[in-house]
Amino acid sequence: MIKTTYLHALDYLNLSVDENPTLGIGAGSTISIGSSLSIFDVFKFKDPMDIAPTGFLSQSGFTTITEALLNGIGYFPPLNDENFHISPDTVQGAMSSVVKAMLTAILDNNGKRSTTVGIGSSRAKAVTAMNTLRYEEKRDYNSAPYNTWRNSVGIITPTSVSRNNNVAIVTTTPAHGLSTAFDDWGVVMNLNTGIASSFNISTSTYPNGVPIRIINSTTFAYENIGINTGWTIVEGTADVRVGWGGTSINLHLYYT
Amino acid sequence: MSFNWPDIPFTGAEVDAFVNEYKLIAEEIYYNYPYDSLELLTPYTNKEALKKYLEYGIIYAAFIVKQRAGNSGPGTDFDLNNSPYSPIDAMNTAEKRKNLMKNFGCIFTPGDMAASWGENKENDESLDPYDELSPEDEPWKGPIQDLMDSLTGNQNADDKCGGFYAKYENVNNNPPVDADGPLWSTILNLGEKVLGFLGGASGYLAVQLLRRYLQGTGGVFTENSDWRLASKSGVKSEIKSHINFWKNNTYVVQPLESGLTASETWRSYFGLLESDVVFQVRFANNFTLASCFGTATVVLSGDPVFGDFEVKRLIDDYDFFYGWEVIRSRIGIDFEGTPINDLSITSGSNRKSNGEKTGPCDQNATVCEAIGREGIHWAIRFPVAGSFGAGCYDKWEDHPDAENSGKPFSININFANI
Repeated sequence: MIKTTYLHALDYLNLSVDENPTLGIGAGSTISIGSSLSIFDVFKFKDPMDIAPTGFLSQSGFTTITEALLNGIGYFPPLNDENFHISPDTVQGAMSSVVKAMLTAILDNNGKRSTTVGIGSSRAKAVTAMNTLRYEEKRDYNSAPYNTWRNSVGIITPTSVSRNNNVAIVTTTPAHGLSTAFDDWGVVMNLNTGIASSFNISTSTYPNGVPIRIINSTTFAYENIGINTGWTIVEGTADVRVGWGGTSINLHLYYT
Repeated sequence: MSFNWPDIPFTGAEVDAFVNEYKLIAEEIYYNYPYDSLELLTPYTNKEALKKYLEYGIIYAAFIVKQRAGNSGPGTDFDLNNSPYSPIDAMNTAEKRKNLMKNFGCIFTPGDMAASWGENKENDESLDPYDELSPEDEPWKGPIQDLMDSLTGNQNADDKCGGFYAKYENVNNNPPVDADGPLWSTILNLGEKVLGFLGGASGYLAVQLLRRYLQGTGGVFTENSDWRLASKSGVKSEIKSHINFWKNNTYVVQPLESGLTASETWRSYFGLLESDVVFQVRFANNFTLASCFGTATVVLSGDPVFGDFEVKRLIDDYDFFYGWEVIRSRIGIDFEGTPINDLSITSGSNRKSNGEKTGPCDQNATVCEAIGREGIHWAIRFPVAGSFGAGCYDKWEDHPDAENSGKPFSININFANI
């Protein structure tokens, strides 16, 4: 029997209250208790840009030690194993990663912006899905999805940046040219002067770029933890990538 | 066991086609594709857990396709009362409701309830049985704690030899010792405790085989050797289940109908009957069996494809490419499963400059390099490589502390009377 906490995780219940109006992340969670308990929640990929699978995600408590040990010996228990307590975050992250693996394997265009089932045998698609879930040294980077997933789709030129409440705003010259018909854009920032470099996001954190929100034809925003900074002239580039989506991948949940 | 697919709460041409293909691919992964689970990131190594991820994840995958398709209906309309996913499953039992309420805490504001949820759900002790290990348990101290800290931390792909190794840089020659003995001994005790929880007999056997290697016992491990906590019939049953599952896949269960195993010398040595059949079995899909045998030669009473069978014998050499390996001539009776001549034991291929166990030694090989530290399974390799230490030796007896450096042994288990 699978633990209740795992079942909630697998039913997408995560109760994230993260909100950021500047980035357009406003859904959050709503919990009401009247004659009955009702929960409105939103589920989405934690990294909406990349395909690399998540590992153990426990952040605190004895569960962290358990997960570290399992990580070290390379063992993961079945979900009905009553001797181990894995964090629900790990379970939910793993399910999300499997979803990504299946989307890239099944849809054409490596799973990006497609609704069409791709050609190819079931075995070939299974190989792609499992290649997605391999650990770094064992991935075949010459095969799908890793052979093209992190490809650049263009370079744009930031000319000034600012940061307020951990949200960076970037202006570009000329216009960035990114279509607002899609909300799956991301960038790898590469600014190289003084404080501007603090606006760069490591690809260790976001291998396929940090997700952005387009504000207008010459401005976009992204989450960037740091001190508030006024408008600053910068030099460098922003390497544009495509990921899974922004609000369009928000699965709205209604539990009652 | 077949998949238990949930209903998809929305339809459409694109979604329907996608869902059908999703199920086909999931079944291909689960039933037919003999991927090596040891190459996967740890949360995906368990086949049954992976099956659950596939089952539960189909709704979200289908939802994304529905969103992209853009046709009307649930999945495109975000009026909260028209949620595209309105499962009653999350609250359909008293236990689940109790779980929710308990984890929310007692302050009924959304923010505080969500914060309590985040903290409490990781420690859901009252509803779910809990790991009996506690921080006070003896293994959690000294180098072990450091090792665990290292495992907990982010793995830096560019600094594979950092962290734990940097702190214990002398571990190459002098493994740190705690009050209970060498570090590997403590790791083994911890491993046995953990693997014991796994419930499988092969989990206990995996630790016992590793212990025998590290103790330098050598010789041949048979059904009459010290199995400690491992059940012989349990291991036999697990091997049979593995073969039964993969019997139609010749990559995993490969018939050996020619060559050495067909020779009279070989069959006579292992006492095969005329009707016995021999297979090379890959256990890579089964974590604990793979930890025992990797790939082994297995004698069966009949071909599993054509009916029931008995696991009669398992034959293998127990060695490590990051520790000591055995070179077999395969002449006479010098083949896997027979007694090992010490002169045939050489440093593992990861310590050889050309990556072959028969190649020239790399005298500068470090423990970390020998382990390779590929992925995240390196903790289980540490006792083997750490006991050997740094360097490379053409022969086992050349090692300055051979008796404590580990020693391969052969495996020849007669399951016929078990």
